[in-house]
Amino acid sequence: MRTALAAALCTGLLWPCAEAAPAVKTLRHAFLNAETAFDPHAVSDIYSNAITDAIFDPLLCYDYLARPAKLKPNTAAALPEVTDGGRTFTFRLKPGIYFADDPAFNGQKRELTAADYAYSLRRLYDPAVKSPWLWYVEGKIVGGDEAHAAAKKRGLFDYDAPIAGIETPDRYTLRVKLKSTDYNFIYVFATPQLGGMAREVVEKYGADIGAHPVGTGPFRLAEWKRSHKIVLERNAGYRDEVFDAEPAAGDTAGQAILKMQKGKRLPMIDRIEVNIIEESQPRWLALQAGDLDYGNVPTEYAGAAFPGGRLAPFLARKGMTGQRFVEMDLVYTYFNIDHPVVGGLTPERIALRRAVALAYNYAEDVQVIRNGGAVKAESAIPPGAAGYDPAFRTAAFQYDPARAQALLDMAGYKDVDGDGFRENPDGSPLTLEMTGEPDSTIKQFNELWSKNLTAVGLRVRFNLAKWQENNKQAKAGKLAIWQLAWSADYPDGENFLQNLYGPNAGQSNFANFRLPAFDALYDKARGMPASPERDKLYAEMNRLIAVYVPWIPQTHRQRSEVSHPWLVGYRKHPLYTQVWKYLDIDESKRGPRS
Amino acid sequence: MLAYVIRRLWQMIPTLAGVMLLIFFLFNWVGGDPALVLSGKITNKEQIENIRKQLGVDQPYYKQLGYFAFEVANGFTCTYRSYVDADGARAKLRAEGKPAPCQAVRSWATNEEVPKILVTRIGPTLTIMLPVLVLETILGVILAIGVAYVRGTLTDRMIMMVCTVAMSISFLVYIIVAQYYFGFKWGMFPVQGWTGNFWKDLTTYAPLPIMLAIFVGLAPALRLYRSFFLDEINHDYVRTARAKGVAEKVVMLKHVLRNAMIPILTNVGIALPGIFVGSFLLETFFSIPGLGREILVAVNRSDFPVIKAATVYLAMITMIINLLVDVMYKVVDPRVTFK
Repeated sequence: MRTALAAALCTGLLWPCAEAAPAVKTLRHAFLNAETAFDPHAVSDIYSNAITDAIFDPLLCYDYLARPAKLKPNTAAALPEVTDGGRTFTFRLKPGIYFADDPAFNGQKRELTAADYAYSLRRLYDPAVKSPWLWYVEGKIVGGDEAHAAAKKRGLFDYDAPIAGIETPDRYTLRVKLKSTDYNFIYVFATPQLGGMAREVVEKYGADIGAHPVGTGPFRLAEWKRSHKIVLERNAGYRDEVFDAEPAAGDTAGQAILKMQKGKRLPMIDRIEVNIIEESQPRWLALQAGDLDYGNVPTEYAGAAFPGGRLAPFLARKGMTGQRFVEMDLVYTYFNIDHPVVGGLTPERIALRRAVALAYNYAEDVQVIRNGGAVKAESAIPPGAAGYDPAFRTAAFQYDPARAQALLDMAGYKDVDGDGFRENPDGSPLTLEMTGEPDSTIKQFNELWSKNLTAVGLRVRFNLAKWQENNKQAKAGKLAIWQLAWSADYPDGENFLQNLYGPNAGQSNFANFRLPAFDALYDKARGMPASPERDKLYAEMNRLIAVYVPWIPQTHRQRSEVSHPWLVGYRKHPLYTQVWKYLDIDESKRGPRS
Repeated sequence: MLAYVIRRLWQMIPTLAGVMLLIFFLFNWVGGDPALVLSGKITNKEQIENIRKQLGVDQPYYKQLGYFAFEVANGFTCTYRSYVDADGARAKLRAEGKPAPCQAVRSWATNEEVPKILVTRIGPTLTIMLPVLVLETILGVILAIGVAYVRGTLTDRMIMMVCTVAMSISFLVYIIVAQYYFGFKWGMFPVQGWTGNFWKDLTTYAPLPIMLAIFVGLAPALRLYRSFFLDEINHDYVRTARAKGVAEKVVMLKHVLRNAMIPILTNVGIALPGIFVGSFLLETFFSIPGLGREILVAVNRSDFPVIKAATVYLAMITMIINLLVDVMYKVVDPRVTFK
């Protein structure tokens, strides 16, 4: 009756009706772990970063569909002018970009200027911020370290004092000068840490700035129930930006997305609801039930969701689509080169490390422990990163227990006392000490290591402790062998190779690998832009890793994701945790929610 | 009675001091280094030291312990550093003519004020745990008195057997199976979720976790309460009542029930502090933003301010509830006297 009456009223006979409001396009997603806060300079977890990435606008961004990842201007009018032999980066901003409204602006529209980016750079140096991203700029920008040291001494960072390497010659120009050539520094400008941040907002909210992120990005924080729910809404004042991308000509899926979305105004969705669902089962069930629009398939369900590498029929029947892709990361085991048992660059120690690498069954790692969710690593550089060579192969990192035994015999590691385990060449007992964490996955890895090493006559002992404790011990150089993973911060092999650069020993170089030949190649490569010549240097560094074996590159993890049919244009990006700006939702296709 | 209550309140101070010492030294011995948790992927010793200095963990233990005592005395609403105005922030505010409150203790990981964390997380926890305790106790008492009434029969044995089997299965198994079938497969309840709207949560998202918690808690409660009733049933006063011709229903509900309430009350008293912490398993599986889940996250992040506050809060609640239960004994059993 009511419906009939409403219909009658809406015929226009009685009075004109307003057009029905378009459905609010809401994207529903889940994070695996709780966020911490949304101060881009202070947070380091990927979940908080995913949110700050949606709120803050860096100068550059990655093309959504280009593979390998490609930088393009975001708020900058063009890619920076790189002068002074790769030491000076000059950006020109697009004028007319405004921050989302906030009481800190006293009701005025606040335009984004070069000073906001200069402020972001300075804030990384402020000791009070305790920025985990200080390494982006430490030792790099002229005058930055001095400002940092002065602030530590005074107990206060002077944001008004000039820093020689950070200049804003006019309202829309930012110039950054480096101490030495670093072509990869450009990637820093595509991170949310280098999003434009308004100083008055930071000063207004003080210690609570993490709860008040205000940027010029496509979304703004609308609601936040800590560790439970984050709601973002479209930034009504977002600049005029339309969908465009550069997928490769042969990239069918990318071309299809481009065809469908090209020219649409960004962002296309109105609201994003992110729930924190830590446990795999509820997350996977909520995803299947349509409570979530897309998401990662938990490892334990990956086999059922992608039997034989193809999307399972029970998911396909729901209209869901699946994606599997190799992440830009590396799982590796390092040897501490300073360790008295496994370290050193003498022929017998190198032989010991090479034998360990040859004893490891990489196929079992991929097929059994990872359940097919990884690919074997052939070098320290993952697919997709600049400098990755798909043809690179070395005999050092292949499963060959017979060769491992022969190598150990030759180097003098023999079973002298007949107990089934080899002793050191001098006859003293030999026990390899591997470090790990007390969780079920590491337990499987330890079992595999134990089985493989025992098979070649090497005794191994596992020391288990919390990751933070292991990290502390590793930084102090006290661990012998530890398995770690490294995810790309930017798409360049240098991001992985810097973990073996001598001067980084005790920081990211847990292996304490200090090889002059390697360091010389690294220094030379850092002064070069991406090029076939630089790739040759990277390959040479990979060969040195295979010769001296400070690392055993094991796998690159594979990620499996599924999405519902109402989610339009979704494709996982190798570097972005989220790509919400580029997505659309067809609400008419959405099924009933549980 | 007032003197007794005052004496008990005084006794809480040394107990709390013991709890504080224990948590402080446990954290410093076995807890991870918070500076390493907060530092990024690439850090050097200087940066780690800077973070330790900012957090105040570079101070000698006796000083850190003193600051902790100061925070507890102020209910975590004021840090020692802000109280003495170490960085001049309050003086600056006063000079500007603005109110200059003390800075509340903040989480190391999220920078959220710790008292706010406790206040905002307790609601969802109680929404689940309070109905669980009430329903579990009522159902446990009703079923136990019924089973005690038919003691020794096949029904009694069958129920006891079912209870034993139910108790031998892990809570996690119940959660996984129930979430899959009741939530996903049959769609009777949402798989997970929480809105923050009390009625919506209580009627939509809480029923399945509540039912599971009751189902798991009922079996041991039933066995325990049954034994309390059987103890009373065998007493002389019950035999006398029956000899006098009092109806069995009256014997059970008036005489046996009232006397069995003392140990039942003790049992409920023991369980009561637990409802203020919640079940981290239920909260993580059903995405309920409660205190149990928060404490688990804090432990994983080595977030000492939150761990400290939650421990002190739980110790206080436990002591207060113990006192209230002792006072309740007097109400239930007039023979009880306070000394």
